[in-house]
Amino acid sequence: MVGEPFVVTRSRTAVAVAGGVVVVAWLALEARTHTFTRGAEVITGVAIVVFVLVAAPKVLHERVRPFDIKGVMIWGVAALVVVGVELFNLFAGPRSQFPTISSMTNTLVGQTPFGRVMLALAWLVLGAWLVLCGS
Amino acid sequence: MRVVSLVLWLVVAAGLVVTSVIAHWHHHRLTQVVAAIRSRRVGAVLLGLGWAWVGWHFLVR
Repeated sequence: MVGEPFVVTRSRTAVAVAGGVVVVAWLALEARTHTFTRGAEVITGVAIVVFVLVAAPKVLHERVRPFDIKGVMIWGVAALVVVGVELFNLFAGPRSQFPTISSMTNTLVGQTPFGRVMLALAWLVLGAWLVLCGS
Repeated sequence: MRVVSLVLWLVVAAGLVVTSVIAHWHHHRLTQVVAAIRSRRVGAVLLGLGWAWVGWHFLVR
């Protein structure tokens, strides 16, 4: 059929627009919540469930890729350094003097609705990157 | 915030940027490592759990 690609393109566009609307609505809800509240638990929990349901079909049908051993070593060391500094600060003393990553982001952007939107958006982008990178 | 701690985080951030650039030049990109982990069932589950934990930690707790 000549018209099929057009129909498929329109369908994908509709899905993308619907997805965008859902993300914007979710960000608006997340902006209205605060840490340590039931609202934040529900809104964030729903996002985790929906994201996993959307991402699982793509991830689970992926062919197995070989490991780049040097890459694993380089990025493994980098990850260990970050985790080491984070743990050192976590156990070293008062958070005001030994800040962790989350305490810094919470102070810098986590106190306002706009900041929460930025944090939530960054988290979604991280998730999309984890699902799509290298494919 | 103690100056030492701030400097430590800045050094770590700069180190990550330098590592990223050098790894890119030598074709040992983080995307390749993540894609190889993700392509295995256990790796995909661990990445998903890690991502969920990050969101929970930063947005809820």
